[in-house]
Amino acid sequence: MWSTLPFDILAKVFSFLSPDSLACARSACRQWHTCARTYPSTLPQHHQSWFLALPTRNRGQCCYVHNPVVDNWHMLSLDFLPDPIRPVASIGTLILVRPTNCTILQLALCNPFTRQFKYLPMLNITRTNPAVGVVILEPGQPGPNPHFRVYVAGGMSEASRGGATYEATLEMYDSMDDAWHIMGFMPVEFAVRLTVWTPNESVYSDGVLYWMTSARAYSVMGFHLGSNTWRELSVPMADRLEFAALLWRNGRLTLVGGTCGEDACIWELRKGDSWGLIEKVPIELGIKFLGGKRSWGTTKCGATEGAICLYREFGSGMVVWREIEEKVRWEWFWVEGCHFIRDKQVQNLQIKGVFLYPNLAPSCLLS
Amino acid sequence: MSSSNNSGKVLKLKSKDNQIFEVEESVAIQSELIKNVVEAGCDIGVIPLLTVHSKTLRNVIEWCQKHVDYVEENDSGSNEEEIKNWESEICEEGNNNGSDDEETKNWESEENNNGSDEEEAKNWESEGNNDGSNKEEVENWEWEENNDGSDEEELENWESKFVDVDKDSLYALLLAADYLSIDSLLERVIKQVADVIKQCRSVEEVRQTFGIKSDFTPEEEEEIREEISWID
Repeated sequence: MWSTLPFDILAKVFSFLSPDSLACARSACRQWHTCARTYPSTLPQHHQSWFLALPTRNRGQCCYVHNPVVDNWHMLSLDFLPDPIRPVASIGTLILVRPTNCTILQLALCNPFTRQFKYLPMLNITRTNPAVGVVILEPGQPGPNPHFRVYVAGGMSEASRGGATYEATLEMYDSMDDAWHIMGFMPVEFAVRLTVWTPNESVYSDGVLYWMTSARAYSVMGFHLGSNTWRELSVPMADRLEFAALLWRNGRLTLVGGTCGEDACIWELRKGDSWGLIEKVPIELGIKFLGGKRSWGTTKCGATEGAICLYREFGSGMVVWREIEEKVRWEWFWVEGCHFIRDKQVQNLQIKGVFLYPNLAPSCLLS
Repeated sequence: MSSSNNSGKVLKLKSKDNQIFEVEESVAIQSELIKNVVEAGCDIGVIPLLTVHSKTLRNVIEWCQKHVDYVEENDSGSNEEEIKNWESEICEEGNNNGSDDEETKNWESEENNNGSDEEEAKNWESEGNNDGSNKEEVENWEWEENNDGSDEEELENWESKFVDVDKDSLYALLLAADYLSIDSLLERVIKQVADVIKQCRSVEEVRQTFGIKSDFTPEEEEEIREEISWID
């Protein structure tokens, strides 16, 4: 009876299921499995993205994902990877990663749910430690085959006379033609800053790719894609912040940062490049998160549509600010850390995480 | 040929087990299938619904009736009437104070019954009309305007109870809604099936709940277990 439901009806049923329920359902029988494979759901908007965390010092081949539907953690094996990886950015249902055993930048795409992995082609100019930025070209419903571009700026490359030099070229990868293109040059001092003081992630907002640079004081660098121009933005309390992260929220560039012994704050970039304070992390959540310590030290931030989170280690838990009513109300939540999976203790390692929309359907970008 | 405004017309629907149901056209045409039959002029005599059992058809008709009733109760016509009643009641309460008359006139000149009316009523209320009965009138009016929210909720609750049935009945409803092409019913039953699946915490539970037998080979079964081993 149920196993012979027409595919069009069954596919609609499946489109309402969260990833873990879908995984169970599609495994029930051949018909259901074929239906799920043939009609992968286009992830309707009410599905939430999941937080995926990897230990920063990669030991062992697995990652941990937080299921927001039932508020628990799952462990996903990464034994299909040829090399240990570090997440760079989220591209909807996929993650952009870089292998950690390689000093030259190489990038790859990965879907830990379908156990797919594929290297992007090598850059035209190989370099170490550049800044990386991602632009998703069809925002909205994240699908299994997104159209996206990756920008790489700065880094150090081999100099013609031996040794190394700061690389002032910008390259762009387009997923449509699966190739890197040299886009032009950037001022050398920016190339230096992006190489030395920048983590790999960026935020794209309104035509501009932004990176946080953390020299003695934090500051923001922006690259305007349309005009190929660079600019710099100051950061509130730049020399006092212990951590600072750029995120995208509600169409605006957002900054999260904290000073020692004080609240963590959230600012939004307004017109005229000024920052407006919009929220502070509630004190009791901050205390719980830091485990009684005063320093925000290793705190990192992640963001997705409708949520911002602060995280540190597997066991420290997460502080999440989530959209409750569309564009109207956001509320703070506590997410318990990952301590045990199937009765096995999880080492309390520092983590690096991204949000992604779990997709159980194989992507042709990765085949 | 039947005209689309013929709300008094009654159609005869015949179930798979040969039971005849007499249903008002306005109710029956919630089904696209039946609507097409009517529009093609083929609704003479009895419309046979070859795959729908009488037990299911009875429920489907109940669904359609409820939805026709809901639409009738909540169209704008009835709100306009309420406002006119309110208006005449207010005028009758003998508010001889000049400013009240003015306010009422201002309010009267607004034609629509959306949020701005509520605002007007609130402004009017706060403008110092301390007469208790006037305030009550405004509150009653506001309550009637806001009733739309709870009507929708009432329908949702009714729909949830309607689909809260055993698996066999749910299956029959699903196929009937699809065959008869009743979008509202199909969507609600689909959501219900999804909700039932969401209650299952494992593949075994899904199979048990829906009476599904695994038709995978042992090797395939193993592979599938691997695929979803991350679910605890």
